[in-house]
Amino acid sequence: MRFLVVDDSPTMRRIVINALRSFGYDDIVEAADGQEALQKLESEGNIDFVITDWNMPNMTGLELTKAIRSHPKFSNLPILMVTTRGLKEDILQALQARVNNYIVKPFTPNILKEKIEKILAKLQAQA
Amino acid sequence: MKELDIVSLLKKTEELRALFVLGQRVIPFLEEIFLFIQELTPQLAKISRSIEENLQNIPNASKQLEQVTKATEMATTEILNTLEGITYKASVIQANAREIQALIDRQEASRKQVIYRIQRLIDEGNPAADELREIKTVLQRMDVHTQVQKATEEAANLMESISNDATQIMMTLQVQDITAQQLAAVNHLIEETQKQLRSIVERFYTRGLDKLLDDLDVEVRQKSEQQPTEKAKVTKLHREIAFDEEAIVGLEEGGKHRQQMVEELMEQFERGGLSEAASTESKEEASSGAESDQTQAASAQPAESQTTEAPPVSEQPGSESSSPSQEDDAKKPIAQDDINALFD
Repeated sequence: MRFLVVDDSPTMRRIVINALRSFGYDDIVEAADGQEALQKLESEGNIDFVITDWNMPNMTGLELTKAIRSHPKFSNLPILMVTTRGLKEDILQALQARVNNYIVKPFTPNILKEKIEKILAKLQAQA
Repeated sequence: MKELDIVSLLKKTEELRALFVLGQRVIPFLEEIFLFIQELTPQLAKISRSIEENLQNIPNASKQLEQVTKATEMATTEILNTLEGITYKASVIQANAREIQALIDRQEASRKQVIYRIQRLIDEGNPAADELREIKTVLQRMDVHTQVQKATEEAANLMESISNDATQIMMTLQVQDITAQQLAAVNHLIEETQKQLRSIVERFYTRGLDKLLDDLDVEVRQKSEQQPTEKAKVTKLHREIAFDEEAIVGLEEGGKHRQQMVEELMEQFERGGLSEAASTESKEEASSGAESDQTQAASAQPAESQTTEAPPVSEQPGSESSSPSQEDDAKKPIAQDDINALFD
């Protein structure tokens, strides 16, 4: 399982990556904003799961989600939004953009693991 | 001259007199206003000079914020490096402890095997039975398996606990990202204020007070008509930082406070209060139309199975008809439990 972790904060990227490693996921690619994430999706290939922040320069996580969903190759990629934005209207916007799940920062490793497993289980059930 | 004309003339004269009386009363007041405005202009010039002086200090404030953000990010990176080191070392010690455990298990099996064979030799009447008995006693005294096993298991468990603590500290470092966003928001505000004040001071000198007030009026109107953008707000500190002014809400909701909120929600749920609150909300949303349709559609159709993208709430018919209380509701921070409910 190859993860793409997108966040403009190097601290947050490391925190998420370390949490993923502690769950046993070692194949991780990172990007500092939505634009770089799209480039990585094209160049790295075989990304299975995207974990993205919302507020980022150049291209936000919401814009990235919309770009992925409208991309012929990546439209079905699971996307987990991890953000400080915790207003109801934000979550509705994320739902409209079709993120698979949503976590408000600060989060615990358990909630991250739980969300990833839930998304993967849903995808597996649909396959 | 007709009598009517005289009456009319007298009336007009009376009106004129009244006007003069009013004028006599108003003139001092107008003079006062004039004097006030005369005094106000140098005062405004003074204020604008003071603003100009303060404007010189604003870059320093921004610089200080930049230094604080950079320093905390660097410190966080160092802590993360150390924590990653601790986690790695702990995992190596843990693996070694497990290896020692496996080794000691094998040794114990061999020791027991040797004792068993010696006993058989003794039982078969081996001529060196006395010596064999001595060797057997020595071997029996060499039983350290239980102690070593206990010690290695304890070491492995301690290492696991240290790893978990390190992960816990790492997660706590999320606060650096949240505070950096807060500082970025403050920096953005400072820079915007500086820009606005500089522009006001410049226009005060070049265009005068009247024009300046007209300009500000137009600007305020234009700002209120501005459409919200999807782009994140970004400010330049030691690097470009995209920020959410509400990030502090996340911080307050985090840690103990969030946990408390979760516990309270759980309690409410057990008492049936939460489900009632949820059903009230869905009824309200159903009557409001767009937002509820979207929410229901989204929850009914998870991202994995959706094939078409719904239009944004703002573009949907009826979305403007939501009541102020619903708008307030949308601005409220939402607990992780409620988010989970939306996605489940």
